[in-house]
Amino acid sequence: MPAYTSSQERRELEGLRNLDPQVIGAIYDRYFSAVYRYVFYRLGDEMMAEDIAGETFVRLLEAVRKQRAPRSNVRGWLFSTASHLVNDHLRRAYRRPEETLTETMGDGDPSPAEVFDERERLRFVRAALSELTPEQQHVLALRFGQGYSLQETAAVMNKKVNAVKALQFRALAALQRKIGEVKRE
Amino acid sequence: MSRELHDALEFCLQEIERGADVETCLERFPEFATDLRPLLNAALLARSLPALSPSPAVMQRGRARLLQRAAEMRTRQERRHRRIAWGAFRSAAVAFLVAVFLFVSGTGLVRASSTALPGDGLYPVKRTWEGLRLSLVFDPLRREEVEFEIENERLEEIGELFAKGRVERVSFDGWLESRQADRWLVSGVTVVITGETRLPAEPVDPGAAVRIVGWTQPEKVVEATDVILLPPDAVVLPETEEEEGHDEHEGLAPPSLVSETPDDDDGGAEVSPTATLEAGDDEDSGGQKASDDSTSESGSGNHENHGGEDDSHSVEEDE
Repeated sequence: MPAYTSSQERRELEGLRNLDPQVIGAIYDRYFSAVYRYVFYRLGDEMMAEDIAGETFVRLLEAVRKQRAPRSNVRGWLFSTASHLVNDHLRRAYRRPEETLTETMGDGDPSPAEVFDERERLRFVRAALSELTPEQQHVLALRFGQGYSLQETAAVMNKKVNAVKALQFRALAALQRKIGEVKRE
Repeated sequence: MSRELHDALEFCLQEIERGADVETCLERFPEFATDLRPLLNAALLARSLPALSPSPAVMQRGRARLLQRAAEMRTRQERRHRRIAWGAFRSAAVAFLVAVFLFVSGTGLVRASSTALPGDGLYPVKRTWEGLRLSLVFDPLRREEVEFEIENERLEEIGELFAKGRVERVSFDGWLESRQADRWLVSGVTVVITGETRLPAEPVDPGAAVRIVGWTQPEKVVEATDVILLPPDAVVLPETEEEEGHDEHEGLAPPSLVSETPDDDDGGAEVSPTATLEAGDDEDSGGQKASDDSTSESGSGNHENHGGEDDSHSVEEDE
Protein backbone atom coordinates (compact mmCIF):
# COMPACT_ATOMS: atom_id res chain seq x y z
CA MET A 1 0.00 0.00 0.00
CA PRO A 2 1.49 3.41 -0.93
CA ALA A 3 2.60 5.85 1.73
CA TYR A 4 -0.39 7.83 2.80
CA THR A 5 -0.04 11.00 4.81
CA SER A 6 -2.58 12.45 7.16
CA SER A 7 -2.83 15.65 5.06
CA GLN A 8 -3.72 13.54 2.02
CA GLU A 9 -6.31 11.76 4.11
CA ARG A 10 -7.77 15.06 5.28
CA ARG A 11 -8.05 16.26 1.68
CA GLU A 12 -9.74 13.02 0.71
CA LEU A 13 -12.17 13.25 3.60
CA GLU A 14 -13.05 16.77 2.51
CA GLY A 15 -13.65 15.45 -1.02
CA LEU A 16 -15.76 12.66 0.43
CA ARG A 17 -17.94 15.15 2.25
CA ASN A 18 -18.62 16.82 -1.11
CA LEU A 19 -19.31 13.40 -2.63
CA ASP A 20 -16.56 14.09 -5.16
CA PRO A 21 -16.58 11.10 -7.58
CA GLN A 22 -12.82 11.27 -8.10
CA VAL A 23 -12.10 11.08 -4.38
CA ILE A 24 -14.65 8.31 -3.90
CA GLY A 25 -13.05 6.37 -6.77
CA ALA A 26 -9.57 6.83 -5.32
CA ILE A 27 -10.60 5.62 -1.87
CA TYR A 28 -12.40 2.67 -3.39
CA ASP A 29 -9.37 1.68 -5.46
CA ARG A 30 -7.08 1.97 -2.45
CA TYR A 31 -9.11 -0.08 0.04
CA PHE A 32 -11.67 -2.26 -1.71
CA SER A 33 -9.40 -5.25 -2.28
CA ALA A 34 -8.28 -5.33 1.34
CA VAL A 35 -11.84 -5.08 2.62
CA TYR A 36 -13.01 -7.75 0.20
CA ARG A 37 -10.18 -10.10 1.32
CA TYR A 38 -11.02 -9.43 4.94
CA VAL A 39 -14.65 -10.38 4.45
CA PHE A 40 -13.80 -13.37 2.35
CA TYR A 41 -11.34 -14.57 4.99
CA ARG A 42 -14.02 -14.51 7.62
CA LEU A 43 -16.90 -15.91 5.57
CA GLY A 44 -15.31 -17.85 2.73
CA ASP A 45 -18.08 -16.71 0.40
CA GLU A 46 -17.31 -14.69 -2.71
CA MET A 47 -20.81 -13.31 -3.16
CA MET A 48 -21.06 -12.27 0.45
CA ALA A 49 -17.58 -10.77 0.28
CA GLU A 50 -18.61 -8.67 -2.72
CA ASP A 51 -21.89 -7.60 -1.12
CA ILE A 52 -20.45 -6.78 2.30
CA ALA A 53 -17.34 -5.04 0.95
CA GLY A 54 -19.57 -2.94 -1.35
CA GLU A 55 -21.94 -2.17 1.52
CA THR A 56 -18.98 -1.06 3.66
CA PHE A 57 -18.14 1.68 1.16
CA VAL A 58 -21.79 2.74 0.90
CA ARG A 59 -21.81 3.05 4.70
CA LEU A 60 -18.80 5.31 4.43
CA LEU A 61 -20.70 7.65 2.09
CA GLU A 62 -23.73 7.64 4.38
CA ALA A 63 -21.56 8.34 7.40
CA VAL A 64 -20.04 11.29 5.58
CA ARG A 65 -23.50 12.59 4.68
CA LYS A 66 -24.64 12.29 8.31
CA GLN A 67 -21.51 14.09 9.56
CA ARG A 68 -20.34 10.89 11.22
CA ALA A 69 -17.42 10.27 8.91
CA PRO A 70 -14.06 9.18 10.33
CA ARG A 71 -11.77 12.14 10.97
CA SER A 72 -8.73 9.99 10.34
CA ASN A 73 -7.84 6.33 9.86
CA VAL A 74 -10.27 5.62 7.03
CA ARG A 75 -8.77 2.14 6.69
CA GLY A 76 -9.48 1.34 10.33
CA TRP A 77 -13.02 2.67 9.95
CA LEU A 78 -13.61 0.50 6.86
CA PHE A 79 -12.31 -2.68 8.53
CA SER A 80 -14.31 -1.99 11.65
CA THR A 81 -17.51 -1.46 9.62
CA ALA A 82 -16.81 -4.58 7.54
CA SER A 83 -16.31 -6.51 10.78
CA HIS A 84 -19.70 -5.34 12.09
CA LEU A 85 -21.39 -6.29 8.84
CA VAL A 86 -19.77 -9.74 8.95
CA ASN A 87 -20.88 -10.20 12.55
CA ASP A 88 -24.43 -9.25 11.57
CA HIS A 89 -24.31 -11.70 8.71
CA LEU A 90 -23.03 -14.49 10.97
CA ARG A 91 -25.78 -13.80 13.51
CA ARG A 92 -28.38 -14.08 10.75
CA ALA A 93 -26.73 -17.26 9.43
CA TYR A 94 -26.90 -18.85 12.89
CA ARG A 95 -30.60 -18.10 13.07
CA ARG A 96 -31.08 -19.79 9.67
CA PRO A 97 -28.83 -22.84 9.87
CA GLU A 98 -29.99 -24.17 6.49
CA GLU A 99 -27.85 -21.49 4.90
CA THR A 100 -24.39 -22.99 4.65
CA LEU A 101 -21.30 -21.01 3.97
CA THR A 102 -19.66 -21.80 0.65
CA GLU A 103 -15.95 -22.35 0.48
CA THR A 104 -13.57 -21.69 -2.36
CA MET A 105 -10.70 -24.05 -2.99
CA GLY A 106 -7.22 -22.95 -3.88
CA ASP A 107 -5.48 -23.45 -7.19
CA GLY A 108 -4.60 -26.82 -8.64
CA ASP A 109 -6.65 -29.74 -9.70
CA PRO A 110 -7.34 -31.77 -6.53
CA SER A 111 -9.09 -35.08 -6.46
CA PRO A 112 -12.66 -35.25 -5.15
CA ALA A 113 -11.41 -36.81 -1.90
CA GLU A 114 -8.85 -34.07 -1.43
CA VAL A 115 -11.47 -31.48 -2.17
CA PHE A 116 -13.73 -33.02 0.43
CA ASP A 117 -10.99 -33.20 3.06
CA GLU A 118 -9.89 -29.67 2.40
CA ARG A 119 -13.46 -28.40 2.54
CA GLU A 120 -13.98 -30.18 5.83
CA ARG A 121 -10.80 -28.75 7.31
CA LEU A 122 -11.68 -25.26 6.26
CA ARG A 123 -15.21 -25.71 7.54
CA PHE A 124 -13.88 -26.74 10.96
CA VAL A 125 -11.51 -23.82 11.13
CA ARG A 126 -14.05 -21.31 9.97
CA ALA A 127 -16.73 -22.71 12.26
CA ALA A 128 -14.29 -22.44 15.15
CA LEU A 129 -13.28 -18.93 14.10
CA SER A 130 -16.88 -17.80 14.00
CA GLU A 131 -17.28 -18.96 17.60
CA LEU A 132 -14.74 -16.42 18.84
CA THR A 133 -15.64 -12.97 20.08
CA PRO A 134 -15.94 -10.34 17.31
CA GLU A 135 -12.73 -8.68 18.49
CA GLN A 136 -10.80 -11.95 18.49
CA GLN A 137 -12.09 -12.73 14.97
CA HIS A 138 -11.14 -9.23 13.91
CA VAL A 139 -7.54 -9.49 15.14
CA LEU A 140 -7.00 -12.89 13.55
CA ALA A 141 -8.50 -11.73 10.23
CA LEU A 142 -6.18 -8.75 10.19
CA ARG A 143 -3.08 -10.67 11.19
CA PHE A 144 -3.59 -13.89 9.22
CA GLY A 145 -6.11 -12.88 6.56
CA GLN A 146 -4.59 -9.52 5.66
CA GLY A 147 -1.08 -10.44 6.78
CA TYR A 148 -0.74 -7.17 8.71
CA SER A 149 2.12 -6.77 11.12
CA LEU A 150 1.49 -6.29 14.81
CA GLN A 151 1.98 -2.53 14.41
CA GLU A 152 -0.36 -2.28 11.41
CA THR A 153 -2.99 -4.30 13.20
CA ALA A 154 -2.68 -2.05 16.24
CA ALA A 155 -3.10 1.02 14.01
CA VAL A 156 -6.19 -0.38 12.27
CA MET A 157 -7.74 -1.41 15.57
CA ASN A 158 -6.76 1.84 17.33
CA LYS A 159 -5.08 -0.17 20.06
CA LYS A 160 -1.64 -0.32 21.61
CA VAL A 161 0.77 -2.95 20.35
CA ASN A 162 0.88 -4.75 23.69
CA ALA A 163 -2.90 -4.85 23.81
CA VAL A 164 -2.95 -6.46 20.37
CA LYS A 165 -0.29 -8.97 21.48
CA ALA A 166 -2.45 -9.99 24.40
CA LEU A 167 -5.58 -10.06 22.25
CA GLN A 168 -4.04 -12.31 19.58
CA PHE A 169 -2.75 -14.62 22.31
CA ARG A 170 -6.26 -15.02 23.73
CA ALA A 171 -7.72 -15.32 20.23
CA LEU A 172 -5.37 -18.16 19.22
CA ALA A 173 -5.94 -19.97 22.50
CA ALA A 174 -9.69 -19.67 22.00
CA LEU A 175 -9.42 -20.79 18.37
CA GLN A 176 -7.40 -23.84 19.36
CA ARG A 177 -10.05 -24.74 21.97
CA LYS A 178 -12.94 -24.19 19.58
CA ILE A 179 -11.34 -26.29 16.82
CA GLY A 180 -11.12 -29.16 19.29
CA GLU A 181 -14.77 -28.67 20.23
CA VAL A 182 -15.92 -28.47 16.61
CA LYS A 183 -13.99 -31.62 15.70
CA ARG A 184 -15.51 -33.48 18.63
CA GLU A 185 -18.99 -32.52 17.47
CA MET B 1 5.41 -14.00 32.67
CA SER B 2 2.41 -13.42 30.42
CA ARG B 3 4.17 -10.49 28.74
CA GLU B 4 7.10 -12.76 27.94
CA LEU B 5 4.72 -15.41 26.67
CA HIS B 6 2.98 -12.86 24.45
CA ASP B 7 6.35 -11.68 23.13
CA ALA B 8 7.46 -15.27 22.49
CA LEU B 9 4.26 -15.95 20.58
CA GLU B 10 4.73 -12.84 18.48
CA PHE B 11 8.37 -13.77 17.79
CA CYS B 12 7.34 -17.27 16.67
CA LEU B 13 4.52 -15.92 14.48
CA GLN B 14 6.98 -13.65 12.71
CA GLU B 15 9.42 -16.56 12.27
CA ILE B 16 6.70 -18.78 10.82
CA GLU B 17 5.74 -15.92 8.51
CA ARG B 18 9.32 -15.94 7.27
CA GLY B 19 9.13 -19.70 6.62
CA ALA B 20 10.32 -21.27 9.86
CA ASP B 21 8.46 -24.26 11.30
CA VAL B 22 6.82 -24.48 14.68
CA GLU B 23 9.35 -26.75 16.35
CA THR B 24 12.28 -24.59 15.31
CA CYS B 25 10.59 -21.60 16.92
CA LEU B 26 9.79 -23.48 20.08
CA GLU B 27 13.45 -24.44 20.52
CA ARG B 28 14.06 -20.75 21.24
CA PHE B 29 11.56 -20.84 24.08
CA PRO B 30 11.71 -24.28 25.69
CA GLU B 31 10.09 -22.93 28.87
CA PHE B 32 7.02 -21.84 26.87
CA ALA B 33 6.95 -24.73 24.40
CA THR B 34 3.97 -26.44 26.02
CA ASP B 35 1.93 -23.26 26.03
CA LEU B 36 2.98 -22.04 22.62
CA ARG B 37 2.71 -25.20 20.56
CA PRO B 38 -1.14 -25.37 20.41
CA LEU B 39 -1.31 -21.64 19.79
CA LEU B 40 1.15 -21.83 16.90
CA ASN B 41 -0.76 -24.78 15.43
CA ALA B 42 -3.96 -22.75 15.69
CA ALA B 43 -2.14 -19.85 14.02
CA LEU B 44 -1.13 -22.15 11.16
CA LEU B 45 -4.76 -23.17 10.74
CA ALA B 46 -5.84 -19.54 10.84
CA ARG B 47 -3.26 -18.72 8.20
CA SER B 48 -4.53 -21.55 6.04
CA LEU B 49 -7.92 -19.93 5.55
CA PRO B 50 -7.91 -18.36 2.08
CA ALA B 51 -8.24 -14.59 1.70
CA LEU B 52 -9.25 -14.29 -1.92
CA SER B 53 -8.67 -11.01 -3.75
CA PRO B 54 -11.55 -9.64 -5.83
CA SER B 55 -11.51 -10.22 -9.55
CA PRO B 56 -11.28 -7.17 -11.86
CA ALA B 57 -14.94 -7.71 -12.74
CA VAL B 58 -15.90 -7.58 -9.09
CA MET B 59 -13.79 -4.46 -8.62
CA GLN B 60 -15.37 -2.75 -11.61
CA ARG B 61 -18.88 -3.73 -10.60
CA GLY B 62 -18.38 -2.48 -7.08
CA ARG B 63 -16.87 0.77 -8.28
CA ALA B 64 -19.74 1.45 -10.68
CA ARG B 65 -22.32 0.70 -7.97
CA LEU B 66 -20.60 2.96 -5.46
CA LEU B 67 -20.31 5.89 -7.87
CA GLN B 68 -23.95 5.40 -8.89
CA ARG B 69 -24.91 5.51 -5.22
CA ALA B 70 -22.84 8.65 -4.69
CA ALA B 71 -24.57 10.32 -7.67
CA GLU B 72 -27.98 9.47 -6.18
CA MET B 73 -26.90 10.89 -2.85
CA ARG B 74 -25.70 14.09 -4.52
CA THR B 75 -29.05 14.45 -6.30
CA ARG B 76 -30.93 13.85 -3.06
CA GLN B 77 -28.70 16.30 -1.25
CA GLU B 78 -29.27 19.00 -3.90
CA ARG B 79 -33.01 18.32 -3.82
CA ARG B 80 -32.99 18.59 -0.03
CA HIS B 81 -31.07 21.86 -0.16
CA ARG B 82 -33.56 23.20 -2.69
CA ARG B 83 -36.42 21.99 -0.49
CA ILE B 84 -34.90 23.68 2.55
CA ALA B 85 -34.41 26.91 0.62
CA TRP B 86 -37.96 26.74 -0.74
CA GLY B 87 -39.32 25.89 2.71
CA ALA B 88 -37.51 28.86 4.23
CA PHE B 89 -38.81 31.14 1.48
CA ARG B 90 -42.34 29.77 1.91
CA SER B 91 -42.24 30.24 5.68
CA ALA B 92 -41.02 33.81 5.25
CA ALA B 93 -43.74 34.50 2.67
CA VAL B 94 -46.46 33.05 4.91
CA ALA B 95 -45.16 35.04 7.88
CA PHE B 96 -45.16 38.20 5.78
CA LEU B 97 -48.71 37.58 4.54
CA VAL B 98 -49.92 36.86 8.06
CA ALA B 99 -48.23 40.04 9.29
CA VAL B 100 -49.86 42.05 6.48
CA PHE B 101 -53.24 40.44 7.20
CA LEU B 102 -52.94 41.12 10.93
CA PHE B 103 -51.86 44.67 10.28
CA VAL B 104 -54.66 45.37 7.81
CA SER B 105 -57.35 43.60 9.85
CA GLY B 106 -55.94 45.04 13.07
CA THR B 107 -55.96 48.62 11.86
CA GLY B 108 -59.40 48.06 10.31
CA LEU B 109 -60.67 46.76 13.61
CA VAL B 110 -59.17 49.65 15.51
CA ARG B 111 -60.67 52.10 13.03
CA ALA B 112 -64.06 50.43 13.30
CA SER B 113 -63.87 50.48 17.07
CA SER B 114 -63.09 54.19 17.26
CA THR B 115 -66.77 55.09 17.31
CA ALA B 116 -67.75 52.27 19.67
CA LEU B 117 -69.61 53.15 22.87
CA PRO B 118 -69.67 51.31 26.20
CA GLY B 119 -71.69 48.15 25.74
CA ASP B 120 -70.77 47.80 22.06
CA GLY B 121 -68.96 44.67 20.90
CA LEU B 122 -65.94 46.61 19.68
CA TYR B 123 -65.67 48.79 22.78
CA PRO B 124 -63.02 46.55 24.45
CA VAL B 125 -60.94 46.88 21.27
CA LYS B 126 -61.18 50.63 21.52
CA ARG B 127 -60.10 50.65 25.17
CA THR B 128 -57.26 48.20 24.51
CA TRP B 129 -56.02 50.32 21.65
CA GLU B 130 -56.13 53.40 23.89
CA GLY B 131 -54.09 51.58 26.53
CA LEU B 132 -51.61 50.49 23.89
CA ARG B 133 -51.32 54.00 22.53
CA LEU B 134 -50.69 55.35 26.00
CA SER B 135 -48.08 52.72 26.80
CA LEU B 136 -46.17 53.63 23.64
CA VAL B 137 -45.88 57.32 24.48
CA PHE B 138 -42.85 58.16 26.57
CA ASP B 139 -42.65 61.90 26.15
CA PRO B 140 -44.40 63.38 29.25
CA LEU B 141 -46.01 66.25 27.34
CA ARG B 142 -47.26 64.04 24.56
CA ARG B 143 -48.47 61.52 27.14
CA GLU B 144 -50.51 64.21 28.86
CA GLU B 145 -52.07 65.10 25.52
CA VAL B 146 -53.04 61.49 24.91
CA GLU B 147 -54.45 61.17 28.43
CA PHE B 148 -56.45 64.32 27.84
CA GLU B 149 -57.83 62.88 24.59
CA ILE B 150 -58.77 59.65 26.31
CA GLU B 151 -60.51 61.36 29.24
CA ASN B 152 -62.31 63.63 26.84
CA GLU B 153 -63.34 60.61 24.79
CA ARG B 154 -64.98 59.11 27.90
CA LEU B 155 -67.04 62.25 28.36
CA GLU B 156 -68.03 62.30 24.71
CA GLU B 157 -69.09 58.69 24.91
CA ILE B 158 -71.32 59.51 27.86
CA GLY B 159 -72.78 62.41 25.88
CA GLU B 160 -73.59 60.05 23.01
CA LEU B 161 -75.11 57.48 25.36
CA PHE B 162 -77.28 60.26 26.84
CA ALA B 163 -78.31 61.34 23.35
CA LYS B 164 -79.31 57.77 22.48
CA GLY B 165 -80.97 57.21 25.83
CA ARG B 166 -78.93 54.05 26.41
CA VAL B 167 -78.29 52.53 29.82
CA GLU B 168 -74.67 51.34 29.92
CA ARG B 169 -71.99 50.89 32.49
CA VAL B 170 -69.42 53.67 32.25
CA SER B 171 -66.34 54.82 34.05
CA PHE B 172 -64.77 58.22 33.69
CA ASP B 173 -62.41 60.59 35.46
CA GLY B 174 -63.11 64.22 36.08
CA TRP B 175 -63.27 67.10 38.48
CA LEU B 176 -66.02 67.44 40.98
CA GLU B 177 -67.40 70.81 40.05
CA SER B 178 -70.31 70.94 42.40
CA ARG B 179 -72.49 68.79 44.57
CA GLN B 180 -76.09 69.30 45.53
CA ALA B 181 -77.57 66.65 47.77
CA ASP B 182 -77.55 63.50 45.65
CA ARG B 183 -76.50 65.20 42.44
CA TRP B 184 -72.90 65.95 41.66
CA LEU B 185 -71.50 67.62 38.62
CA VAL B 186 -68.30 65.94 37.51
CA SER B 187 -66.58 67.57 34.54
CA GLY B 188 -69.95 68.55 33.16
CA VAL B 189 -71.63 65.20 33.74
CA THR B 190 -74.46 64.99 36.24
CA VAL B 191 -73.84 62.11 38.59
CA VAL B 192 -76.59 60.79 40.85
CA ILE B 193 -75.44 59.45 44.19
CA THR B 194 -77.76 56.77 45.55
CA GLY B 195 -77.86 55.00 48.86
CA GLU B 196 -75.95 52.14 47.26
CA THR B 197 -73.15 54.26 45.86
CA ARG B 198 -69.80 53.37 47.39
CA LEU B 199 -68.15 56.61 48.44
CA PRO B 200 -64.59 57.17 49.62
CA ALA B 201 -64.00 57.43 53.34
CA GLU B 202 -62.50 60.90 53.00
CA PRO B 203 -64.74 63.86 52.26
CA VAL B 204 -64.98 64.67 48.56
CA ASP B 205 -64.91 68.39 48.11
CA PRO B 206 -65.57 70.32 44.94
CA GLY B 207 -62.35 70.62 43.01
CA ALA B 208 -61.38 67.03 43.82
CA ALA B 209 -60.31 64.64 41.10
CA VAL B 210 -62.61 61.65 41.05
CA ARG B 211 -63.36 58.56 39.09
CA ILE B 212 -67.03 57.79 38.64
CA VAL B 213 -68.20 54.29 37.88
CA GLY B 214 -71.88 53.88 37.20
CA TRP B 215 -74.71 53.51 34.75
CA THR B 216 -75.96 56.07 32.25
CA GLN B 217 -79.67 56.72 32.57
CA PRO B 218 -82.21 57.91 30.00
CA GLU B 219 -82.62 61.00 32.18
CA LYS B 220 -79.11 61.97 31.03
CA VAL B 221 -77.44 61.33 34.33
CA VAL B 222 -74.94 58.77 35.49
CA GLU B 223 -76.15 56.78 38.44
CA ALA B 224 -72.93 56.15 40.35
CA THR B 225 -72.10 52.80 41.84
CA ASP B 226 -68.61 53.87 42.89
CA VAL B 227 -66.91 57.17 43.51
CA ILE B 228 -63.15 56.93 43.80
CA LEU B 229 -61.01 59.81 44.96
CA LEU B 230 -57.99 60.30 42.67
CA PRO B 231 -54.78 62.19 43.29
CA PRO B 232 -55.03 65.73 41.88
CA ASP B 233 -52.55 65.00 39.09
CA ALA B 234 -54.46 61.93 37.92
CA VAL B 235 -56.92 63.96 35.84
CA VAL B 236 -55.63 66.02 32.96
CA LEU B 237 -58.91 67.56 31.88
CA PRO B 238 -59.17 71.26 32.65
CA GLU B 239 -60.94 71.83 35.89
CA THR B 240 -63.78 73.70 34.20
CA GLU B 241 -64.84 73.75 30.62
CA GLU B 242 -65.04 76.66 28.24
CA GLU B 243 -68.57 77.92 28.16
CA GLU B 244 -68.66 77.94 24.34
CA GLY B 245 -68.55 74.21 24.43
CA HIS B 246 -71.59 73.81 26.61
CA ASP B 247 -74.03 73.56 23.78
CA GLU B 248 -72.25 70.44 22.65
CA HIS B 249 -72.63 68.91 26.10
CA GLU B 250 -76.17 69.83 26.55
CA GLY B 251 -77.00 66.37 27.70
CA LEU B 252 -74.14 66.28 30.16
CA ALA B 253 -75.75 68.68 32.56
CA PRO B 254 -79.44 68.24 31.99
CA PRO B 255 -81.97 70.86 32.91
CA SER B 256 -83.24 68.53 35.57
CA LEU B 257 -80.29 69.62 37.67
CA VAL B 258 -81.61 73.14 37.72
CA SER B 259 -84.17 73.30 40.43
CA GLU B 260 -85.63 76.50 39.14
CA THR B 261 -86.44 77.39 35.59
CA PRO B 262 -83.46 78.79 33.70
CA ASP B 263 -85.45 81.88 32.91
CA ASP B 264 -85.84 82.56 36.52
CA ASP B 265 -83.17 85.06 37.17
CA ASP B 266 -80.31 84.85 39.59
CA GLY B 267 -82.32 84.50 42.66
CA GLY B 268 -84.10 81.34 41.60
CA ALA B 269 -81.31 79.20 40.26
CA GLU B 270 -79.39 76.99 42.56
CA VAL B 271 -75.85 78.02 42.96
CA SER B 272 -73.27 75.32 42.94
CA PRO B 273 -70.49 75.32 45.48
CA THR B 274 -68.04 75.11 42.59
CA ALA B 275 -69.47 78.19 41.12
CA THR B 276 -69.15 79.85 44.48
CA LEU B 277 -65.56 78.88 44.69
CA GLU B 278 -64.94 79.97 41.14
CA ALA B 279 -66.47 83.30 41.85
CA GLY B 280 -64.19 83.74 44.77
CA ASP B 281 -61.13 82.72 42.80
CA ASP B 282 -62.03 84.64 39.74
CA GLU B 283 -58.77 86.48 39.50
CA ASP B 284 -56.62 83.38 39.85
CA SER B 285 -58.55 80.90 37.82
CA GLY B 286 -57.16 82.04 34.53
CA GLY B 287 -60.45 82.09 32.68
CA GLN B 288 -61.28 78.49 33.42
CA LYS B 289 -64.50 79.27 35.16
CA ALA B 290 -67.95 79.38 33.79
CA SER B 291 -69.30 82.69 32.78
CA ASP B 292 -72.66 83.96 33.86
CA ASP B 293 -73.84 84.19 30.27
CA SER B 294 -74.06 80.50 29.82
CA THR B 295 -76.72 80.00 32.45
CA SER B 296 -79.83 80.31 30.44
CA GLU B 297 -78.36 79.15 27.13
CA SER B 298 -76.91 75.87 28.18
CA GLY B 299 -79.42 74.90 30.76
CA SER B 300 -76.53 73.81 32.96
CA GLY B 301 -77.81 75.79 35.78
CA ASN B 302 -75.38 74.38 38.23
CA HIS B 303 -72.44 75.78 36.27
CA GLU B 304 -73.27 79.32 36.87
CA ASN B 305 -72.51 81.65 39.60
CA HIS B 306 -75.08 84.32 40.11
CA GLY B 307 -73.45 86.20 42.79
CA GLY B 308 -72.89 83.40 45.27
CA GLU B 309 -75.44 84.80 47.60
CA ASP B 310 -77.04 81.46 48.14
CA ASP B 311 -74.52 79.15 49.66
CA SER B 312 -77.03 77.15 51.57
CA HIS B 313 -76.16 74.12 49.44
CA SER B 314 -72.54 74.10 50.30
CA VAL B 315 -70.79 70.79 50.67
CA GLU B 316 -70.52 71.11 54.38
CA GLU B 317 -74.21 71.56 54.77
CA ASP B 318 -75.01 68.70 52.42
CA GLU B 319 -72.74 66.47 54.35
